[in-house]
Amino acid sequence: MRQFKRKRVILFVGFVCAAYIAWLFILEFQEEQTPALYFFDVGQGDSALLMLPKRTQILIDGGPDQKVLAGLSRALPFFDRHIELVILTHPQLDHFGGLIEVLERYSVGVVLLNGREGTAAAYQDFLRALRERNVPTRVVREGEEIRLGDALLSILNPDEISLQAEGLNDAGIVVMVSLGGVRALFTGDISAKTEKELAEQYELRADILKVPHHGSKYSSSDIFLDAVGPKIALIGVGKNSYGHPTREALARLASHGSQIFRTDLNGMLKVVFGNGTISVFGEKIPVVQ
Amino acid sequence: MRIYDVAFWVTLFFLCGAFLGNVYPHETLFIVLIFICVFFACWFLKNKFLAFTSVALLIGFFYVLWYSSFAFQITAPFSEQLRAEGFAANVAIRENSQALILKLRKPLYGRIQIVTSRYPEFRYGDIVSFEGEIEKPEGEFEGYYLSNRIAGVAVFPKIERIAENKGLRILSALFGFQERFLDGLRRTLPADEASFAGGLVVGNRSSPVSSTLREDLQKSGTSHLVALSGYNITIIIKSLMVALGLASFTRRFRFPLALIIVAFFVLMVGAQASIVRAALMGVIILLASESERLYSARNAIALTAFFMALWNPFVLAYDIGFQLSFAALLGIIYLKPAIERLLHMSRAKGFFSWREHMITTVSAQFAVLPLLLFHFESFSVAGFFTNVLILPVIPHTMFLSFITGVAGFVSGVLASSIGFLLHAILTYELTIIQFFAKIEFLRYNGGGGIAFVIVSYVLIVLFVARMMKKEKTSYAAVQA
Repeated sequence: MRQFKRKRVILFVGFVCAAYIAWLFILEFQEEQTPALYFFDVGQGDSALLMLPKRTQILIDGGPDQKVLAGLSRALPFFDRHIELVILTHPQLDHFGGLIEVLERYSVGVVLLNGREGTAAAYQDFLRALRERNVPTRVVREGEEIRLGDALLSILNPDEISLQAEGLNDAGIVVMVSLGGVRALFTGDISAKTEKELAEQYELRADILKVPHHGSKYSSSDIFLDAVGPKIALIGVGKNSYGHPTREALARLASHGSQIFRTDLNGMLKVVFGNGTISVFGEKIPVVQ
Repeated sequence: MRIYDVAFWVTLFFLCGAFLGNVYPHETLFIVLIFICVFFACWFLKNKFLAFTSVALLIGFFYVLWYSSFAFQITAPFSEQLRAEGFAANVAIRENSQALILKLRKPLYGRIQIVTSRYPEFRYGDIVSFEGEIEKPEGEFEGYYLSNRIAGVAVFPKIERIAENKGLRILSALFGFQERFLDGLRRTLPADEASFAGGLVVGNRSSPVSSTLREDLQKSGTSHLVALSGYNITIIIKSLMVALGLASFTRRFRFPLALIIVAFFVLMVGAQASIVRAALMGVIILLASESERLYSARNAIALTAFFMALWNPFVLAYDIGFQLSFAALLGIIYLKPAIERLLHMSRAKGFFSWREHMITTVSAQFAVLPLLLFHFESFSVAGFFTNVLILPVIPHTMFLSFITGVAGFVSGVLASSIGFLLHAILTYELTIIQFFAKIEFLRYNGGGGIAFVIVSYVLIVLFVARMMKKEKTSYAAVQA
């Protein structure tokens, strides 16, 4: 009798395991092939994850702290513990703080840096994490192009001059991602000065804009927005004492016809693009465009 | 009176005295009056021996006074800008900060807590220098500092490391082992799953959970799972015994060997008062379950409380965890059989012994209910459901977590392949926790005063006494 019971339990447990693994495979092969951009709610800071087909990911900035992990846990299937490419636009805490935890927990293919040293105390911990986990780094400059799967990443900033800028913001990496006919521009914390230079130098037209410097009034200038003409403007912002996002920046974005999505109001954002349409899903107020 | 009765009453009176010392440290006259009343009440109502044991009440009271005069010694001036050095005896990483227990170095003396930003990260054994003000712990959290033997607090001072690895080598090694174990989990599982699995094995002090998950755990009545309670340690000891048995150690060696390993474990997870208590409790629960003798459990519990109070008497009134876990343990030992008798429960275990878990949860929850309402002013019925659904798989989860974390030492691939199964169980548990945390109507918000606490416990004791008496009479009837 007891043996019979034990047999049944083993059968039951075996069945559950088999069903579980079967489901994993089914879900794995069903994985959507349309690329998506996640814009994580990390409080005051920026963190965006580009999910490309074939489980290839690009993480641009990591926000100030471990909040980025919650976003990654939701965006990535649990067995994918590898992020192909991480870009740190500039070494300020609200952009690299969360990357320390990311480096501790995920294996990272390569980290792109702008080449400036961070002054925050935690920056040493970031470097230590890079060292301890043997993560390769590369310093990138304006004009470089990186191809990852079907995506093309064009680095627009910094050049040798903007790299010497007084603050860290204008030395930040600006990157245009082109993928399947959709263009997304990631701007870090650049100010109107760099925006103007970029607008004069490059074709900036993009469908999706990561609004510079959390919606500061000294960024998102008219010249820049004229050049970009974003349909969708994403702002990574949380509780802060700077008044971000400012009324001025929001007004300029609205007057250029951009639909604005903010992580403080919408929570985590997911932008799905494929077949010529772009859809935005907010965590708190679902919006479909 | 038999010797074990004498021991029990002496400890009980000592604990009462120490408790009064916590609450009324300046009212010596009042305490002496209480003692005289108790003494004569015992003398005339019960027996003279008992009256003499009540002297322990006074001893307990004066022990608190003596203890506080040396344990909180600090030579640093309060609320003055100063520069000092100290030895980091303990570092707790929190979500956005770190809490360091610092032993000040000469010429200063004292044990203080420093709260600083999440980075740069400090470790046990660091020598740090800081510039700032040390405040005297006061206000809402004074009890917390008293029960953790912290004499001063410095919040976000300017701080830097000036040397490292100055601690005991064995402790550094144990902390290093723990860190690698948690690292194995973190690299295999998503963040919440990893911190929950880590919390089950080494507690949430070493493996802090995110604030969202912490809130969900509280709301669903499952925080105790990651608090490294006697329950977790019992499971660890039991699995140790099994493992040692498989390694063909004889029964005689198994228990002491398990105790030694548990001692190392306690050192590894921080040797905080709460964990020492949990370990002692774990050992007692195990002893009690092996011997199944009620009176020995009674003395063992009293003795644990006594040693804890000797170690730091302020845990009695100010360490909520101390009160909760003793209440829960007493509930399981005394209230559970009483409820079983009331419901005429059979010994049948049911699927995954759900009946056993249900009745254990109900007993423990009822026993802590008055305290929860008193301290937190809220209580959730969700705990009954979540615990019954989750507790049966907790031992398996702990086992798989341990294996996964250790497998991470060897290779990430190995850890991931075991992690698949662990992830399935964790998903089940966290789904239930998150589901019940959302159901608001299961929650009761409202407080209870000290009178409410006393009345509830008197009622519970009367209920238990009645059920025990019933058993005795029915037993006598059978005998006749």
